[in-house]
Amino acid sequence: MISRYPVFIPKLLPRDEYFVSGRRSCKGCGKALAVRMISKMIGKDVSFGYPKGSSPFSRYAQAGVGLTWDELSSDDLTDSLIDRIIAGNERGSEAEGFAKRIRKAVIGIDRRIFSKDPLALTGILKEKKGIIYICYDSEMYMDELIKRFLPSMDAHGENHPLGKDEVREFIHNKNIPSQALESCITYAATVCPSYPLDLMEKVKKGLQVSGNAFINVLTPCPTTWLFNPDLTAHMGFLAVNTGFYPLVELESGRLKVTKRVLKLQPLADYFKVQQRYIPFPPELISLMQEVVIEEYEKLTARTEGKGK
Amino acid sequence: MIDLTITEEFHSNQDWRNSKPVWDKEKCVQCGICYLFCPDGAVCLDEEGYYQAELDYCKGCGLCSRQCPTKCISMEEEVARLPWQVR
Ligand code: SF4
Ligand code: SF4
Ligand code: SF4
Repeated sequence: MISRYPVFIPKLLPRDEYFVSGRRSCKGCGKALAVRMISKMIGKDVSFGYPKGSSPFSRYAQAGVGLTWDELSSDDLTDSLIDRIIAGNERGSEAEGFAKRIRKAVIGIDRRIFSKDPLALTGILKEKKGIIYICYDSEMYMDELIKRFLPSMDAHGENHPLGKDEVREFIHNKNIPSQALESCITYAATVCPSYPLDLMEKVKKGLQVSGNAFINVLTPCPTTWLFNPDLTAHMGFLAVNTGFYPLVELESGRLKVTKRVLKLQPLADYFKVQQRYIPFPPELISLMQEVVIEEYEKLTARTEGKGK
Repeated sequence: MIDLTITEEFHSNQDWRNSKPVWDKEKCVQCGICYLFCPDGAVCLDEEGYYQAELDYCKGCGLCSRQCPTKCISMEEEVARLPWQVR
C-alpha cells in the first residue's frame, strides 16, 4: 500500500492503533517503537495474543495468535498456537463461500534465545510453514564483549585480548543469526525502526511470502545501552550509517542492501553515545572499525555481483 | 482519539514523566513524523489536524521532539509526580 506513493507520507499510514501503551516499556524504548510499527503493518490480518494472565497487548488479545513482547522459547504454547493457526488456514481454505485468507503466525522472540539455545527455532521451522519470526535484537551479545573489559573480582578471569579473526567472526555473525538462515527461511531481512518505511515494506513482504520469514529488528534500548531516551531513533541512524548494522534483505537466495551508505561514519560515533561502551579500549574500537569496513565492502561487493 | 483498551492496573504514565512535549502550531507542517516515532502511541490528531500528545500515555521521552523536522516540539519541564500523587 505504501509503495504506491513515490514519497513517504506518514499521514497515509494506517491510522488504527493496535499497540496499547502501558507500563511495560521504559521511556523511549526502541522495542516498543518497533512493535508499534510492526503491529501497524500486520493490522487485523493477524490478531495478537498473549498467554493468559500476562498483560494484554491489544484488543485482539482473545484470539489465538501470538506476537509476544518478550522472548518465547519453542515450548508447547508456541507449538499449539502455530498448530491452531495452520489448522485454521486449512479449514478456511476448505470452507466455501469465504474469501481465501491465509493468516500467518507472527512470533516475536528476543535475540537472547539464540545465545542460550542456538538451535531454538530449527525444530519449528523444519516442520511448519507460514511463520514470520520477528527477532528483537537489542545487541545483548555486545555485553559479552563489554564484560571482558570490566574490572572483575575474579583475578583468574578469562581476559585475553581479542584477535582480529575473532572480531571478524563476531561482526560477521552479528546481524542475522546463521542458525536461522540454515533453517527453512524464504525471506530474511534486517530492519531498524529509525527507517520506518523500510521496516514496514519488509514486514509486508514477510507476510506475503509463502514460506517462513525471519526479520531481525534492531531495537535500541536506552536503559541498558545507557543513553538519553530521546536518542533512540538517532541510535538506529548511527548503527546503519556506520555500517555496524546494514539494512539487508535476502529474498530467494538474493542478497540486497536496501539502504546503501556511500560514506560510512566512524564507528566511534556510535560507541561514543552509549555509556556502556566506556570500558572499551581504543585499540579494540579501531580494530572493530577496520573489520566493519571490510565486512561492509564484502557485503556490497556480494550484492553487486549477484544483482547484475 | 483512538479507542484503546487499557489494562486494569493502568492509570497514567504521568509519574514517569519529568517533561512534557508542547507543540508550536505556527511552525508545525503536519507531516506526522512525531506521530510515527512515538514509542507509546501517545501522539494523536486534534480537530484542526494538528498533533498533540495524550498526556496519560506520554512518558516524556522526547523522541517526538528530537525527530520533528521543523523543531516545533519543545519539552516543557514538569515536576515529576509520585505514584500516590496521580489523580
Ligand atoms: S529495558 Fe530496554 S528493551 Fe526493555 S523496556 Fe526498557 S528500553 Fe525497552
Ligand atoms: S513532526 Fe513536527 S512538523 Fe511534523 S507534524 Fe509533528 S510537530 Fe508537526
Ligand atoms: S515525549 Fe515520547 S511518549 Fe511523549 S509524545 Fe513524545 S514521543 Fe510520545
